[in-house]
Amino acid sequence: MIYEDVYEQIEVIAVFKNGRMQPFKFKWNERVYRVEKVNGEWTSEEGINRYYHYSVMVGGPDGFELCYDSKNMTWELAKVCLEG
Amino acid sequence: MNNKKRIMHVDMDAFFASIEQRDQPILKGKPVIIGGARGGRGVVSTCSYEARNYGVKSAMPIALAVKKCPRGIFIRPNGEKYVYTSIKVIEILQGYSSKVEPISIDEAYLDITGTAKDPDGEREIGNSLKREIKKKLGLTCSVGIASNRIFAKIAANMEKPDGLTIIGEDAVKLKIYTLPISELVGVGEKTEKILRNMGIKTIGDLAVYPQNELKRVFGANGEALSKIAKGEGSDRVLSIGEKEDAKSIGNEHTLDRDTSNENIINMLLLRLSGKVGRRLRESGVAGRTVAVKLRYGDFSTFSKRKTYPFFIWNDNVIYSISKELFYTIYKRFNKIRLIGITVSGLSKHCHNDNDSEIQTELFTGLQKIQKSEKLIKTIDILKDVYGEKVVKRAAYLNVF
Repeated sequence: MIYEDVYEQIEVIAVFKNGRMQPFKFKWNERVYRVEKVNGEWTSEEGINRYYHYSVMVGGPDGFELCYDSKNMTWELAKVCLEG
Repeated sequence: MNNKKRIMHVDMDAFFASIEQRDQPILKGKPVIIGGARGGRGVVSTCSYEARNYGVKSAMPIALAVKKCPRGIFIRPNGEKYVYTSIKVIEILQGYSSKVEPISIDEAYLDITGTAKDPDGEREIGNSLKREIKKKLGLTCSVGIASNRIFAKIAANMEKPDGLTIIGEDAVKLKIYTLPISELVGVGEKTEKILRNMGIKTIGDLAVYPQNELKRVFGANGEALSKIAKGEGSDRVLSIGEKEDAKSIGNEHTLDRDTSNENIINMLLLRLSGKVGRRLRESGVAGRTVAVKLRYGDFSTFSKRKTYPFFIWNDNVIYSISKELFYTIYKRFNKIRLIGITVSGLSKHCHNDNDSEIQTELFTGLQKIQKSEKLIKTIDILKDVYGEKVVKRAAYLNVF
């Protein structure tokens, strides 16, 4: 099992609904992943900058942690948890 | 409506590990250990039930956890995620009582007096709360309900994980008094040994034991032990924001590596002084006694305290006193593992300029300290607004 930090900037399509934001699709290593399930979400802060974290599944056993930087309006793939 | 005191204790099951297993389902069913990395010298913060089956426990050194569970998955704690989730748990609990008292990141008491008319009603409330936490946060908790905090906590531990135990008045003798004394909060290994030698084996034995005899053996703690066994004096739940007066405020830190480097030692004293000072000011208190604790690499531990005729709350004053106390007990060149600073003898205090004149005149000069006081107040405001990490002393650079 691989569980490690990545912290790579990625492209994300997100959905804004009922006052909440959730990632819908993201692109990493030239591959597009569709978010099937959000297992957990939380926020963290650095000064006035707020980050929105999402632990997501993409249809298999692998897990990904995505992070939205609200000040710079960028997304990162923060962590991966891969089988194998 | 039944107005007999009813207290609920909610204990999140293996909180940190469960959050990680929820977020990465690949970790479910695996021994997950939250703490330092393999090879590090940290301790286990918490672990999943699967890891507990290997004998891994909280506060166990990581090296020992690796030995006990070589195939364990070691994950560094994500404090922000756990705090965020804890706040969400408390928000859910507040839907069940106006009196919710968090006692740690993963435990809280609720006063549910008058909420249910019978045990079935209490069971319904407990189950509803558990369902809501599971649905909204994907986590399980164990719930205990009894007439006081002590018995409610014991009840919550009876059916872990994901349990719900209700102790009615009539069930105390059967369900609580028959338990071994080691189940009681405040009874450690040493106390348990002494009690067993006195013929006290169960909580019930302790509850009926003559209090004056316990007092003779344990001093003031004897009375406290007797009360704990009876569940007395523990039926008050404080609302959030309502604070019980603290008796002392302190912080301690275990170094990554044992050291005799005085630069590092002084920086650590400075950092701990800052943390204690900040907490004193946040609580609106000041204290007259400062204590310093040091632990060497061989775990031998020493402490020194001193009481002053004035109240102390300024970081720089705490640092000056701590440093002085520290060097009266420190044997130079011996490697240190841990340092702690505590301020006690607390009193509600308005942190105004006149106070600092009193507390600082013995030290490095009034003008200098008054200047530092203004700086401390400004830094407090910055931290209140932007968080604790927004400002740090330049002296910490290259050390921490």
